[in-house]
Amino acid sequence: MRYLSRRGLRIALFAGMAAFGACIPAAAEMRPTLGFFGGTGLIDMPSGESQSDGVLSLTTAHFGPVSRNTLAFQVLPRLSGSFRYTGIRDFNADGSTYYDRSFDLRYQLLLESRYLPAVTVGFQDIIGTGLLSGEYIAATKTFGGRVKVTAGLGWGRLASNNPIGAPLGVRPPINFGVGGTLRVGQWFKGDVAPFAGIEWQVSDKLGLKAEYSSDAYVEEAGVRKVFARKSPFNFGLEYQYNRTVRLGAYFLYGSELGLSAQFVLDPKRRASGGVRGPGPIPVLDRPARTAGSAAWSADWVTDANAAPGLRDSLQTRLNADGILIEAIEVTANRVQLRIRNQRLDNGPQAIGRTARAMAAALPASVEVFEIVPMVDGLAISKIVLRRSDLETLETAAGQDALIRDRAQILAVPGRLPEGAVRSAGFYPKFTWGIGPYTKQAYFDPDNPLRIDIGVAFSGRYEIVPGLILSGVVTKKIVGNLNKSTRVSNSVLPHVRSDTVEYDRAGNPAIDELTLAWFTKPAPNLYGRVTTGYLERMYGGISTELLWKRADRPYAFGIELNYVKQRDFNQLLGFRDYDILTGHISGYYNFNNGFLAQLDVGRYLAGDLGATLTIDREFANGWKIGAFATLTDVPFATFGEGSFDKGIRIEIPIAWLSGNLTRRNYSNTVRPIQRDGGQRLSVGGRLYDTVREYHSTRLDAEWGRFWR
Amino acid sequence: MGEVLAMKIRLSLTLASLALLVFACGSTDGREKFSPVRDIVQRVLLERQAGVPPTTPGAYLLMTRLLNGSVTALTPLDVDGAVVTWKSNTGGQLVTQDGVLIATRGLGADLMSAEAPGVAALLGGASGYARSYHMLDGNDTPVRLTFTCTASTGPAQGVAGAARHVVEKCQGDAGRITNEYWISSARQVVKSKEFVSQMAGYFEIVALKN
Repeated sequence: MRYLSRRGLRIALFAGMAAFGACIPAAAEMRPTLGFFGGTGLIDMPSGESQSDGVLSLTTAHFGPVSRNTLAFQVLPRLSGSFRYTGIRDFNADGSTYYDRSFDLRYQLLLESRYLPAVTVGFQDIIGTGLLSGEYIAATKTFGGRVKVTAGLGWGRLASNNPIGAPLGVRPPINFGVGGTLRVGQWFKGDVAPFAGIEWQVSDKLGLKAEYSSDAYVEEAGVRKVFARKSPFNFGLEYQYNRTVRLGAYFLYGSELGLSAQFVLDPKRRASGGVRGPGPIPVLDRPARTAGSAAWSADWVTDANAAPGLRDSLQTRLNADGILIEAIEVTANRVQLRIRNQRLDNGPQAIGRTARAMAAALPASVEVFEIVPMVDGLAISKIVLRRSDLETLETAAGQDALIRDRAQILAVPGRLPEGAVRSAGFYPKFTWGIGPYTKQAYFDPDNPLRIDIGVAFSGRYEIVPGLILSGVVTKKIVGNLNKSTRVSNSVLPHVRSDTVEYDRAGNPAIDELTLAWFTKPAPNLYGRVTTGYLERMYGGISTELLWKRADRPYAFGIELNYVKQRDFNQLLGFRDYDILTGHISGYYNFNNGFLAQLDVGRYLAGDLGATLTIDREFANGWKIGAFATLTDVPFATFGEGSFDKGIRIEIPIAWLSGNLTRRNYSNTVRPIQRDGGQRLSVGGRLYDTVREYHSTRLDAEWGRFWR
Repeated sequence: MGEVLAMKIRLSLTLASLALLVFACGSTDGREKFSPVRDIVQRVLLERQAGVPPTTPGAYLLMTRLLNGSVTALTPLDVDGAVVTWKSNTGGQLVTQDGVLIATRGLGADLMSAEAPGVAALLGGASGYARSYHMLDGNDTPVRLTFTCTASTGPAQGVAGAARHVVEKCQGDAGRITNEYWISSARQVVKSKEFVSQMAGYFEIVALKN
């Protein structure tokens, strides 16, 4: 990157400019683009490159009767996965649209270098119906920064046009069964066929693509004749609208027009450029300490009003940051504050702001600041800072690492220290909200997306610390979730598959009405008991214990629930299904942004098994993960999909808007949800409640301490 | 085609409350924009007394983001020896040390901290010294840019109150930056054009007094 006068600045902006994201025009460099299958590629053929690490992309591509919508994630610099929803019109015997879900993995074997191309191996549709199944090896080389040439070999579907042989033997036929199982035996078997293509970035905005496809569309064009495939050549023109959006128009297979839109979101590039919000108050230095200096006297501590007076003074300074003081403990040289962070999406920033307020408000004799973040009445950890370090480092270069070296993150007991003063009038505390909500149902072949929009009323009453009465009631305004005619054909107890009945009958619905008690019996042990209507389908009692040290990357938990299935109308009644369900859980934070969770236990249908969840979490709060559950329910009994699995995405609203808020956009997508491997969905689970202020997460976010 | 369109609409809904958000923001061409308002405002203001110490009553800074031409006025919030924190009424902050920018806050793409030369080093034409800029990337992860710099001084022209003009050229792994300072005979920085961060580009800062 160069910063040369005005022109240099512009180049720097283009090259370095993460954060303007969507607001900055296309870069001059030639970025890897996406193909019709939603992976990095040409038009209908893949290329040898990858997206940048962490990129989440969404591609919607259509030609003739074929529509493909793909969500792809660059899990690691070389590994990506994609989930695709395909629709082919007029495909079924009755002329209706055929819908299909598929999942791909690809791995970049070789990064492009001066003489060598980028090389990627890919596995398409590895656990779905197999309609799109195929493997490939693709190589791509860039010439002169504007032209990319790709050549590759395809197997399976990608070898259906002009194969050149079958070097690795016969490809076994697909035995679909109920889907959901890997077909490793097919990989690289059967015919192999070459494909190739060229991409030319004419200008910053305009790109041209041409390719020779090795896909003959045997089933679509040959057997079912949903379109006429007249040529193996495809041509396209793409327009880079901005950093995020790329639009394309195509002419495919000598007969069909096509359109696509590619959306590329990079979690590492803040859409807003950086979190805004007012700057902090400066760290006010204490006067120099001289013998007999009145400012340094510790006599103030004997004043009975010292603690409440200082609390009020601190609270005034913290109001601007949405930080509430729950309790204060004062001694002559040490003050502990128990705080609740209501607005800042970053823990260290909330701690930094609190420390600045303490430096501004506390008498000079106080040298040690102890900040205890509280969540749901639980004291999570104790961050200990020396005031003189804050004074010295406030303007030091590289101050974030310097203060982290001097700060301690310690375990803290749940009970208040002796002599601590709780903020008067803090409890009981009532908060409420009214807002819009949406509920979605995906992939019903009759209508792939159904959605309800309505109003949600929520209330939360904290009676004493850790004892919380809360509820959510929803009233639908408009939507079509109730239009589904899908009736569950599950042979297991219908623990989740009666969704449609719930959608149809629950309006208004009590989504949740619980009394929860959070407790901390020991400095590393957390407990929760929740009773009432725990989620839309179950009510009962849920109990949990979590062991987690503030300074360790691992944790263990146990959860035990007795629940009864709720009436479809989601009011107060119950159906006659009840179950004792629970899990033993292990958690590990790999310190590179990856989190793993393993739950072993008994699921809602009484099945025994385990769930593995892997999430990738970014320092700015983005989280993308996948989970899979295997239980003792045989695949055939489970039904379509064979076992429960899905992906989940969490995007901080602060990342999108740049404003300070702790709200998230989150969504979980399963290809299909049936009755095997289903867990209770109770709110306030302890691991996510406590880990924000433990060292692994605080360290990841620490860069914002001084902000 | 009707069906294609219908499906597209549905699917765009399905998958993309996110994607739609990306259209929501305005585009910028990334070039420095010249604001006539800024030029007029500055010309008028430069008639006033320039380059006063921050402790002087009525001292303030006028900061222009050269990326988009936006102008902000900042008044002293805290003076701690040579370090002065300036604040705008919208919550933005600049921190200067000896008149040289070392941090910003509340501006989004903030300069978190910096290792910077003092006025004496700049006026003395120091060479081969190290400079560093600490900022956060889009993932809130600290990024450090380091440079080796050389200052060259000459007479100042066309800037009220300035005696010397210092050009500070810095070369680092990330590229080259050039800062400029106009300094009064009382060794106060009257005006400067300084690199802030990769995302914020350069700021022009003028020291004034009401």
